[in-house]
Amino acid sequence: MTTRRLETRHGTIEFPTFMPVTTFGAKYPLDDLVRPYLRRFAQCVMVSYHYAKQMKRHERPNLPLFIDSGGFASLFEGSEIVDEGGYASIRTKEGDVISPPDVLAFQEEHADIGATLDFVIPPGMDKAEARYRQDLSFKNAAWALKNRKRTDLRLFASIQAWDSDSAANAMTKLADSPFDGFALGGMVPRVRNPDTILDIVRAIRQLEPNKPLHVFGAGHPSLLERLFVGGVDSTDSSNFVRAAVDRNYFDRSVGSRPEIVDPYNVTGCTCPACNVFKTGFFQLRGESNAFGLALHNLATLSRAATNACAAKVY
Amino acid sequence: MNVPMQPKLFPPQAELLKHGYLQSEDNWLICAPTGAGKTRMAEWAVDRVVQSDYRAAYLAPLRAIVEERLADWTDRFPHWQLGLFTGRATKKAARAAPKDETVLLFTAEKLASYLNNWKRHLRWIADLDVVVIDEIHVLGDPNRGAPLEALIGRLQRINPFLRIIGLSGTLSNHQEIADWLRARTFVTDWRPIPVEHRIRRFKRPADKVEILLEEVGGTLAEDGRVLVFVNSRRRAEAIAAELRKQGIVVDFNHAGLSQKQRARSQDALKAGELQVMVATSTLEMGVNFPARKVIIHDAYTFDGERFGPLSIGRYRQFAGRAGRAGYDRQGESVLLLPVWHREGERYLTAEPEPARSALFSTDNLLREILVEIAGRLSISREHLEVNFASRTLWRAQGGRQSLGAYVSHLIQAELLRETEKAEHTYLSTTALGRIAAQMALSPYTIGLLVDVYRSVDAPTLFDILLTACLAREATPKLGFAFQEIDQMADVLLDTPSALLDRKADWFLAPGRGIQEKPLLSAVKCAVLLFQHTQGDSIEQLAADYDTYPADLRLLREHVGWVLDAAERVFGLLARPKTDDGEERPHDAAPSLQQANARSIKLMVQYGIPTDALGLTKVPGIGPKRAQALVVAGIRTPAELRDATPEALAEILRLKPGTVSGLQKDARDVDWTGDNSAQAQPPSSDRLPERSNKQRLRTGPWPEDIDPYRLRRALELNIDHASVEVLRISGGAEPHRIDVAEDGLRRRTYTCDCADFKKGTPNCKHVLRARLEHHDQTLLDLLRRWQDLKPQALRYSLGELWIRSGRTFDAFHGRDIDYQGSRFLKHTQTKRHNR
Repeated sequence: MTTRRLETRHGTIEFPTFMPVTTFGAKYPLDDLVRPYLRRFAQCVMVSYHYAKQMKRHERPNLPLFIDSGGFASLFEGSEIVDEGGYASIRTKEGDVISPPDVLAFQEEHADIGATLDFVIPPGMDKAEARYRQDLSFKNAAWALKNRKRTDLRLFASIQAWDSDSAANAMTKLADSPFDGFALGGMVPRVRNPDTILDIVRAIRQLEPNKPLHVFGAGHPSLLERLFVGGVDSTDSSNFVRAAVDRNYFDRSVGSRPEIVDPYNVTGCTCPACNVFKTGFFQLRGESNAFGLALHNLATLSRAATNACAAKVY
Repeated sequence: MNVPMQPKLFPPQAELLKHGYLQSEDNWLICAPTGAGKTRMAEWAVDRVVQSDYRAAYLAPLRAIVEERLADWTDRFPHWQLGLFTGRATKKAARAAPKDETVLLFTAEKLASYLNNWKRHLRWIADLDVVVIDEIHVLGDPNRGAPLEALIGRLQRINPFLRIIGLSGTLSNHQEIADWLRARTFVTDWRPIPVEHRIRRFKRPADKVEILLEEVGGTLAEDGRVLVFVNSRRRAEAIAAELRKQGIVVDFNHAGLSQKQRARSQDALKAGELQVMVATSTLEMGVNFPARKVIIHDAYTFDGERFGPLSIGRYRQFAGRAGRAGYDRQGESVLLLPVWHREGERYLTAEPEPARSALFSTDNLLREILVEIAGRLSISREHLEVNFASRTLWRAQGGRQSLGAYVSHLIQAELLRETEKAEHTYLSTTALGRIAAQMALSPYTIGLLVDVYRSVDAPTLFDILLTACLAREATPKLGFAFQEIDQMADVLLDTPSALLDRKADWFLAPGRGIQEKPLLSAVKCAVLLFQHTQGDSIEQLAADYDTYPADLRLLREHVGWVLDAAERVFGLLARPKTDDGEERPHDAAPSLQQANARSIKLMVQYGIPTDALGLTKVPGIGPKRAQALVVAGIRTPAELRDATPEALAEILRLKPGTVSGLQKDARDVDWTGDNSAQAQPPSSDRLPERSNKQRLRTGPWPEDIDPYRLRRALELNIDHASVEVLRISGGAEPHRIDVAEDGLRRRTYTCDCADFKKGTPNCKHVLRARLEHHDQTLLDLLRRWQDLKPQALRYSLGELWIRSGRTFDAFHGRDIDYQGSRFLKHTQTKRHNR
């Protein structure tokens, strides 16, 4: 595992690293409580384009910000992908349009890292449709690269792939282009098949061994370590917060899903939350309890990178 | 690290570094004597944080200490961006919350107020990496301890990354506190300047002067300086006067002085302009004063209610002031004790009293539960147990296992409500509870306001003022002297007041949390403040009632706070409720109670009567100008407008240009004077029927026994009794009674107090001795007091004064855990044997 770094306007990111997802606006109030603490755990924060648009200036975390394209909206019911010629957009049922120009303009104003607009390929999708979406994702990546004005905006090309062949196909098209990194999407529905994900990662790495590789939506403690050891540089997830709301306590030793672990029997975690909160705290429903549990979960995910570094044998 | 290490580290500092302190991520509890370098240890931790782009906080119990720290750090650490946050929580103050400062200095009260709205302040709270808590032994203080204890728990829960560094010079149960904080301890008794501790013995209190002069003289002869600690303000002034007569350059310092006066004398001592400073306990905590010798003049201290022996902790705090680094090779601490005081050596050898959680006080615990629920850090009974109680020192020291009873009390008091949702039961504050939490008021205070609102149909201005003075927050509680009753008679007898017409027992009913002494004090405070609204200046009132202007000003400020609460509570109670029990917002005119609360608050704040309230509407007219106008006969905006500019300029001592600006502003004020509810001129219908002023006395009484002295006697303790000698304490000084018996077994008593020497054969000490000998005359008098018939409060202050205090309760069987119960048993036996 090569140690990679990425210089951004708001600081240097040393890989591997976990990037916690945050939101803005009123929909997820727990995010507001957790956000001030993100810089204690993370080197970079991930925000979706949709929520980033609701960010007020004073709310911006004092960290590098990775703003994705909002391409997951292509999965919403009633959403339409529209090929505009030079690029492709998403039109939602409500009439909102997510287009590469809008996304890039926003990223140039607010982001340190931006991912190009892609179209999610869920498992089981018809192969022709899948290839079509992949091609449109390449088109958007090319458009963004050509139209980027802010030179210190780190631009990651979004890749959609469903197996090692499709991943290799994608990297063949993108490998020599001057992107700053690559972001692999569509893995969230595939987290139960970590071997598939790792095959895809290996395929990418064979053709692009050097640039940073990010995987969207991977937020399970044991999966993270495998991905980092397998060549991924960063992942993001909001899982730590959602799990806290459901009173799920992350434990590195538990399999690929976070299970409810009886806090009465948990020992050994020395994260700040576990140092402060007493037995039974994490089992209670309540905002302050969920807050404490979210911090613990985030600490566990953040440690995955450190554990991966320690596990790697050169 | 940018904090310069001094050229040579003190041994404790070097030792602490060897423990890995600079790299440590732990909490720390550092216990070291004054001068051992604790502050430097804290500065290392602060600077480390400042370098790391996070923030540090410093917390101390007194504003004076925080301000001293600010001044020192501003000087020495220009790269620290310092912010000072003290004072009461108000809306304006909330806007003055931390912004970009890197080192935040708080009083505990102020930080606690921010934590009550922690979500609003989360941005900077989350940035805190370390908080230094100075004088952390204050955890054991009955008033300051509870907010500090609760604050620590809340801070840790809101910001689990925070490290705590506690500093103390006098904490005997440091391991217990460290375990609670989950902190490492560092304990040392090293001092840069060793202190020699001595005890000087006196036979009679009058001998103390000579000892004092000798000790002071000895140190001054060697060009040293002396700090003398005494147990009362009057004593500080008297001793300073006595020393001044001897040609010594001396000043005194106590809480009754204004801030300016205190600062002046403190600066003079620091600058070396004084040889001796005489002070009460205000200086003992942490504020830095150099002196070679410390003399602890009084071995008995007053806690606000009664005199008791000086505690070991307090002695250590006093003695810790002795010896100045760089000036003295050795410090001296001299404690004056009577010859018969057997346990003097304890002060030199024993550990200070352990700090015990102040949450063992019901009022404190109720208040913190309310704050916890109001801040939504806990939302149910279970949350209170797990989130809050389990993290308290109270629980660690054996506090009751369940908070259920306290929660039920708050629900009953309409400060909390319990609701069911999805098979769970949740707690939330009512609108009343939110007022209590936001304004940091005791639940008892809110209960009192509600009580008065509901039971008094048309409360007068005095009623509301008296209610505010009854609140626990209305401090300082002025001492009530028996002889002041007649002084207050005019106000007491002529002021319309439904509360003064109530029997005293109404106030003393169980559940109201009011006892005789606080009731008396509240009446006095209300009378004084009411007189202030009628034109008496603070200075005049202070002189008339033998108190200090600074105390009255502070009282006025605190009562104003409670009156603010009264206005809010009354406004709330006037609103109709929804089916869920929530108050509807409404736009109707304020109720009588609400309007009166607002009026009396302005009257007290400005020191003006009802009919001059219009002046408060004119911008630029503050209390001083309002009072000047009232004295000159100008009471309304219209009269202000119509006065000649020249006359106004003379009254207000302003330039004519400024005056015309005020008059212009007065033109814009729409004031009709009697705003129905607000101005309530006294009605003759409300005055109690009587033909003559009633004398506030206790009825027929033996000539040679002063009821005042007999009542005072009940407060005294017998420390030693033999056939011929009794030692009595419990007052400002201990005294000796010699007893002689003639052939007929009639006793005569001789006391060494000044009162006896002036010709009072039955001084309070003699009366106490006689009670100890079961003097039947005195016991009969006491029994007579037991049967006092209740009257309206305005007539019964004398009886209340007599009944106040635990000793009286013990004599009359209401409280059997006091030594006076022996007399009760004796009187009962006597009755039985007749």
